[in-house]
Amino acid sequence: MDFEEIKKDEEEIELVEEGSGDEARDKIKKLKEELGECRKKAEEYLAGWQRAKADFINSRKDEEKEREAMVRFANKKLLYELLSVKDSMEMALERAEEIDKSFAGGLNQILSLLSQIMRGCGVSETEALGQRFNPEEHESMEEEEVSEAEKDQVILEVVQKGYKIHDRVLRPAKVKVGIYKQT
Amino acid sequence: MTKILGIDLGTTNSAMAAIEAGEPVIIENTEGNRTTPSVVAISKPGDRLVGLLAKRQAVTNPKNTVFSVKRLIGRKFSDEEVQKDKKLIPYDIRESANGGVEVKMTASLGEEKWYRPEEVSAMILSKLKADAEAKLGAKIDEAIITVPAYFDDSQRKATKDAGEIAGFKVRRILNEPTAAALAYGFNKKKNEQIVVYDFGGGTFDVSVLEVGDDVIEVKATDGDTHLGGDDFDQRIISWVIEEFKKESGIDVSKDTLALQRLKEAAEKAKHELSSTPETEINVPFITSDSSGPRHLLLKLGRAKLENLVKDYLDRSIEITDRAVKAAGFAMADIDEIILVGGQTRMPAMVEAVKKLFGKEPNKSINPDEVVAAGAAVEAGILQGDVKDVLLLDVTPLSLGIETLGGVSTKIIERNTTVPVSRSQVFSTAADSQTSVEIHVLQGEREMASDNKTLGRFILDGIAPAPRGLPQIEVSFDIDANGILSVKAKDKATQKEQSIRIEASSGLSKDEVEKMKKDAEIHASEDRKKKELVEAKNSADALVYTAEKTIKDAGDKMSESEKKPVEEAIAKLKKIKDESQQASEIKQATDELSSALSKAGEALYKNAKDQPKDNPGNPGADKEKTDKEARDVDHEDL
Repeated sequence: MDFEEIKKDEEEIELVEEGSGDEARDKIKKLKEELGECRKKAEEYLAGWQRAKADFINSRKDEEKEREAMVRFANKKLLYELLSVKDSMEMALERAEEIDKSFAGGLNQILSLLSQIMRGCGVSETEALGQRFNPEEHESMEEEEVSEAEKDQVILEVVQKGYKIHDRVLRPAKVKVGIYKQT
Repeated sequence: MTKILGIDLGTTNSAMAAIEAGEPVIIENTEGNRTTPSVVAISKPGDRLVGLLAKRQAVTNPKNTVFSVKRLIGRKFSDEEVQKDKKLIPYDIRESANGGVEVKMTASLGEEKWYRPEEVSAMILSKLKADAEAKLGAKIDEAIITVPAYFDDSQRKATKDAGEIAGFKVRRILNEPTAAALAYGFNKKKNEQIVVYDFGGGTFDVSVLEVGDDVIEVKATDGDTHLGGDDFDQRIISWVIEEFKKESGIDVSKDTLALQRLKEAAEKAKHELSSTPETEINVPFITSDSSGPRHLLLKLGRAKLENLVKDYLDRSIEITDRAVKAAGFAMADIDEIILVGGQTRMPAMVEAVKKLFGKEPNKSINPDEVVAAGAAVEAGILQGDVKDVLLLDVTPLSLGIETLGGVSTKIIERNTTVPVSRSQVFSTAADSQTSVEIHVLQGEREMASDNKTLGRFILDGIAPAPRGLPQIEVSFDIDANGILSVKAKDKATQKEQSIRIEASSGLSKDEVEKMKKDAEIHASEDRKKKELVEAKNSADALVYTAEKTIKDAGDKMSESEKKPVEEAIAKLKKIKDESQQASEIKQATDELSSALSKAGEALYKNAKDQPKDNPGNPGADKEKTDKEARDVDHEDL
């Protein structure tokens, strides 16, 4: 029932009230019920409207947060891909040092340029060697028996360096872990 | 109201989604990934690890790292499948008291513990639950979990138990192919047959579905429980090892680091070949021998990759063919094909499926996420997220007005959710123009004449002013009933005029589709036409500015300084009227533009010589007019 109708009915009430009697009481009762229904609907719509508005504001806030995270981690994929370049350059450097010191020096400088860029993007190397194995940062590739109990689950060798971007793991360090065997 | 979580509990990876604002949204886990490996482990120090963390220590802790538990859930130990898998898995399983399967994981102090597969699955589900709660900031008590269509009662019951152990009230166990169909909204397609081709990391499933009045019925299923994308990776790796051995005589298959780098390179190559025809597997310093360091560099093309995995592809197509026949259908009876699983990104696979059915398969929803998304859709239906009164419609086609040169300028883009209001400020195209015609258009084409006219009206009484100066705000408003009101208002005089169009969405679905298709077909020629008009418009604007500059400069510029500009104006005018090539007009416009800046420089220099009589900055003036001309422009009246 819309408001036009209510208005018309209200006019009728006045007319009926003059006549009074059961008919009028019925009419009033009916109208009260209808009014109640209308109020309920109005409340429901208002609540829905408020909720929609709140949803909108909240999703805008969430979006803002997501955008921030996106900016922080936007280069994640590229930086991850660059790690394989960095790995290879480090290997090249190792070999170069055996062959030509001066050339190795230049290569080392190129490598630090790359490292500097990556540091600027929030990339840092994960500590691994000598640490206790922690799957949050490390990935185990091999186990090696150790005779000292304190070396159990300790990283003996870093097979491939691990990196973090801000507080997230960019690539886990691939490591060799000690396992204690009593001799 | 709490949300119901939709969970795709996969053999290799799991994913979860929930309904947000009526749409399924994939929920990331705490590590920030959209899928979670279905792996559980008890680490050496005795911690329970789930997902990526469990996977990271799998190599050195194989006995206590449980993966693919979905292959065991709800099965009898004596099942042929279980006996077959027993040989392949590194962890220990045994027969439980009631004939089921139990999985062993050993805690730190060497204390052996046997778990039922549903307990292991529950650990995965618990992680998903906790991660989803953290992400959504609300408690989640209910879930819908998907299972393969071929799962029997006992496997379904066990999956449901896993959900309950994890603390969920499991509202429904949903078939994976049904979930995929729901994600595409195919539950509304009555009496259609759908094939779901699901090529996951480790398993291949085909299901044939029929959409009835209220239900999606599974007519047939088939598959290979040990065929998946991981096999493709393995083939590439073996091929690379073999090639490298041929070339260098060195076997790198035993070298941990070399193998790791190779694996990464192979996976990357596979992914790249989904979008490029050829890629390189490039691993420098992979190993060394007496002659020094050795590098691996191999080209891998699509054709080679397809050749390497041809038998797998053929097998999947054979199985699909068998499933459709088993359902009692001919290939032509199938109305829709849905691709699920990351491996279906491979172009050759899409082609093979397309060839089998003679039609394009559906692949627009991320194949890794489509099942979880579908589970969320089902959750949305159950939780009654979308109330009828709040079902919001979208505009099927773009709405806009005609601007200078017959271009259709869009004000409300298609697929915008209504109710919505958008407005844009326009201006006049000629000096002293006192009225503008607002021609309301619907459609995706670039030129006004190709779109549908919804109405026209004239706003007059604009105060006479140079072109580009009056500000006329045109606003479009569509209410929840799809009624469009367009209003134009002159900001200076506050005069306004409007029109109400009731039938703005009165087009039938077919008409809308036709208009969209037309726009696609004519996209490039339309763009050319529009470019031509735009080039002419900016040429016009520049001619106007140039003429004005020269006129305003008067005797502050010598005839010899004016001459190149006047020549360039004449040339541009001629080309603009005769040429049908936007590039030609643009070139002549650029020429005039540079002649004009040279004249501007001269004007500056002259002004410096006579500092008291500053003629202004014609360069800046040009820029301003140019900019106005771009977003302004109206139909000449």
